[in-house]
Amino acid sequence: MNPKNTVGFLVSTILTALLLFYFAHVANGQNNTILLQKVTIKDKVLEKNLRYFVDNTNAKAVSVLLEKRDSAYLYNLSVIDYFEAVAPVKGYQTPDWGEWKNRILVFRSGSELNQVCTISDTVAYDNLLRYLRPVLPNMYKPVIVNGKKVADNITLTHNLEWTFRVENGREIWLWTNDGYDSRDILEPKPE
Amino acid sequence: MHIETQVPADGFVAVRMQNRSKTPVWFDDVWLDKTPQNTPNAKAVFDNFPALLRSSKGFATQADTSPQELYRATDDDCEEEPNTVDGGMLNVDVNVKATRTNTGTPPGNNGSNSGGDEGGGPAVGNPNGEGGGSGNSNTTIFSPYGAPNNAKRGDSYRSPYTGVLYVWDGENWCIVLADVDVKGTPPTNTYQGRNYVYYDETYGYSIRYTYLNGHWTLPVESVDPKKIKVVGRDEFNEEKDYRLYQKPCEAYEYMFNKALASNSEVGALITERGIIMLPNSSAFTNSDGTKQFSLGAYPSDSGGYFMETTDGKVYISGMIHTHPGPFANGTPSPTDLQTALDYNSLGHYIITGFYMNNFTADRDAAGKPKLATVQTVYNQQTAKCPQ
Repeated sequence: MNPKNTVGFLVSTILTALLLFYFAHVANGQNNTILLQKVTIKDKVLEKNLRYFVDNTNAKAVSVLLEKRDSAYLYNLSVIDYFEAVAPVKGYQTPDWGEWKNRILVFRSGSELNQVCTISDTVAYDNLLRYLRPVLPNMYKPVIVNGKKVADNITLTHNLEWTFRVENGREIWLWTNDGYDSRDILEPKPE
Repeated sequence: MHIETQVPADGFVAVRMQNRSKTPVWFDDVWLDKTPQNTPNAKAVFDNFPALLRSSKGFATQADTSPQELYRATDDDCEEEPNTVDGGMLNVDVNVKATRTNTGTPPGNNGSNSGGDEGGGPAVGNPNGEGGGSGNSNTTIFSPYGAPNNAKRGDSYRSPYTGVLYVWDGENWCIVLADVDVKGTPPTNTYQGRNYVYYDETYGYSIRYTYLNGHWTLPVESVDPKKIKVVGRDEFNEEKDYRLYQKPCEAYEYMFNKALASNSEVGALITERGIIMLPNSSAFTNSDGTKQFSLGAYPSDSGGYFMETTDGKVYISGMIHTHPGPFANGTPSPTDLQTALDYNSLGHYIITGFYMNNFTADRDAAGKPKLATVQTVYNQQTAKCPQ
């Protein structure tokens, strides 16, 4: 083999290896180095609907609204489109959150949350912000002209939302904002 | 202009002139002539206009509707009065006098226009009936007859013809109002140049007042063009014209139809001059069809927002956008709620193919937006323009 070719081969191999190492490091390191809380869902209906919901929306982060009404749980699932939706608000507590199947769940609920899921590996809310910062875009984009902000561009979205009621471990009804409501389906009369 | 109407009771009738977006149109001088019914050959002409019949603030002229006034004839010797006066007919001719339309020469009258254009049509407005797209230099500025053309911000001028007091705010002549003539609840911490926008939710219009020389005033602005452009934003210079609907019902009809027929959102801004439809261009529409709104950053202490356009500043009082599709609903999305929370001085509306909702947002325990109120304010039928 020509020595020149040998040196060239070695250089290109080393460069390729370095590049592969770099990209692998960046790809893994960006998010994997940030510790996230873990969510374990106890409510089987919520778990099933969350799975279908993220399959439908491909959402990276989901807002889970939970209310307890008598013995029933009322859930609302919506996509978190923008970073502003998770940014902390001065004077208010940060919400409960955690990672579930490579998705981020942000809860809006009261003490009833403990009845439907468990959050472990507690870390600071700042970890969530650092994790989502490169993932979610900004809802507000300032329009800058000659170094001066002259306007705010506001993006409005209306992604899929699911609302459902769970009682005694059973889904009672499910409503979606794209026109489906299980309560519209008539039960066949017994013959 | 001739107005003829039944008079159900004694009292007064007031005439208010407004453009299609229900913003008052101000004239330098307005008065009423009353024509008696049942006496076709005896038109009542009040040579010495009683004060009551003259405009007090450029408009809102009043006329007595008591029977003896309604049926007064020019022949003073004629003692005959109609026998039936209950529920009589009021015939009124509205006359406009000494109005001015200056083009590109603000402020004030330059003295070259001769006065006394009796019945001479609208006091303000672009004479072509079209506008926009050509920059501020061609916009039309209202000027009271005889007003100086070198007024400085804060200078006042009282019309010797009508007694109306005006103040020049740097862009427009503003009519000084009595406190009782300012709608809503204006802010109490006033200062020179402070703006206050009153929004009438029932009728869907807004009025901008400006505080000058110790009083709330109403700027007499030029009539809206049908098309305007947003200026001062380099990246949007390629934008098509924005469409200004002076009749909100026309904008609503357009949006109802768009919501039903299209899978992409349509957005609009409610302004003091009507409803401005945002262009369906890349600058305002994302690849997924969602809509971007753009608001000017108004000085923070006013709490208001405006767009800088080729027709001057247009003050914004609300935002409307569609939720398209036959099954779409008018419930605000999380981003709608976030916007309503962050821009809570504006009205927020969603139009589906069938109805229009007004909504407000509140904060939950984490400070995040939650729905506070939602109310259907129009449906396809009630929002329709009168045929």
